[in-house]
Amino acid sequence: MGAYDVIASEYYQDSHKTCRNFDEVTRAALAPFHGRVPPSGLILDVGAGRGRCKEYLNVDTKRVVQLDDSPLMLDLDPREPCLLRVLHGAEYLPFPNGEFSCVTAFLCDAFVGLNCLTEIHRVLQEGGVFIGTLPSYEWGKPLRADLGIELFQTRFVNAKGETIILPSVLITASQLSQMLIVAGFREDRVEITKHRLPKTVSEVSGDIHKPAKVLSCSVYDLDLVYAIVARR
Amino acid sequence: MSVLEWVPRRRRFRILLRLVFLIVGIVAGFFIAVLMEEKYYVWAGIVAIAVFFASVGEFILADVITERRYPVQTEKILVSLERRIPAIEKELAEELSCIKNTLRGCDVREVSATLHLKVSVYSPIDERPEDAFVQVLNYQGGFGGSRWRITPCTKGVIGRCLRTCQPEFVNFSTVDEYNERMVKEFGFTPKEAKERTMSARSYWAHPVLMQNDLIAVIYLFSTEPQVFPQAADITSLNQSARHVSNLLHAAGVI
Repeated sequence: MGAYDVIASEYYQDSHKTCRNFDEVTRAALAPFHGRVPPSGLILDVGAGRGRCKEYLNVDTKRVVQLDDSPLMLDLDPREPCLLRVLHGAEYLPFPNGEFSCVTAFLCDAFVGLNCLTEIHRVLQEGGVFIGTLPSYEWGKPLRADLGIELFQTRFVNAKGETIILPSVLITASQLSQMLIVAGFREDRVEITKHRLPKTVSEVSGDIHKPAKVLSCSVYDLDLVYAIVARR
Repeated sequence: MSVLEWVPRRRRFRILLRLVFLIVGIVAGFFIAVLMEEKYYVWAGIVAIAVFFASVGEFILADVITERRYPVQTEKILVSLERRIPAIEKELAEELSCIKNTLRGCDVREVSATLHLKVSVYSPIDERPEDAFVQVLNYQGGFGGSRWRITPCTKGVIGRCLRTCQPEFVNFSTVDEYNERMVKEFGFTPKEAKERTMSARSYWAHPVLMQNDLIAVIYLFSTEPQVFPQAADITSLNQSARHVSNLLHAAGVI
């Protein structure tokens, strides 16, 4: 059972406003990177959930292998079609070296870490690209302090009103860059950019308002997501 | 530092235990006096007899409890360590700080480090010595328990390191995984697992060798997930382990 099983059935519902806001930021952040996906070869979507490679990167879903450690996430319907679904954790990937031309990990805070990034580097072909997004440290640090939860935990409130605490890694952009280098990526092939909520988004989660208030800035001026593009 | 910290732990425990009995005796004496004054001679006699038997029992009971918690032979070893370690404590702590600074791609503020020394301890059950670890330094970092704690060699990633004489690591992604694997794989009881730092997610145990024998383990853990093994620079850690070994040898600890 994966940790996110407990929230799988409702993770994609509109009631989880913060997640939906992050979707908007991710969509906008990754739009310029569509052309960076290699035109051929397999794509591994790590922590896929119901799959978002087509939505975020406009790729052929027949190239996509969806991997998640939550059986309930992999069973969600509706979902993006794919070549194969694999039930497995992200810390060690069950694939040979150089199997994929592209690896994606959208909002990968649930499983990102040195081991996971090292594995992503290992399964990428030479010249292959890792494209990912991660909730920003700037957003999460003040929010989690305010909520009284640990830095490496997030909290969901489910449909029944119960609070659920789940693993979620927050790291600064500079540490993320160091981690990618330790994982094997060359420094000059790593790009990390910071992204904010598009001003077209009118319904904003209270969990974005809170840190914006702490930092005395508008919700549209707060860095919410890091976008990662790293080429092997 | 309180005066009590200068007294060996076994003796400290024995003194505290006797103090408790003494206070109970004084309070009982007061009640006996009150009862006598009120002419409740029978009740006063009953309390006096109870106190008498309790005093006799204390001599036996306190020794049994003390021996069970702090076997005399084990205590001798610990007292000897408590005398020798302070001479190299600063250097050892500095070495641990250096080790933390060699870690790559992680937030070192989330890392805690200490040194576990292999010793022979004696349980109250028999006279046979068994290997165990004594934590000889307080943690360098924000988490972890205080020093002089004893961990049986059958437990934890440090126990695994003792058995393999190789660096060992473990990662837990959630607190549920921590609770399960600490019991199933690392020899702790569920209660013991809950008494440790449950927010830690990534652990590293590095052997300190002397002539191919393991004498201690450098122990690191991070609350940040998946730090080890990637963050560890084995060459630097081996160098630090040699330095620690030399320090322990020079101080006569080994």
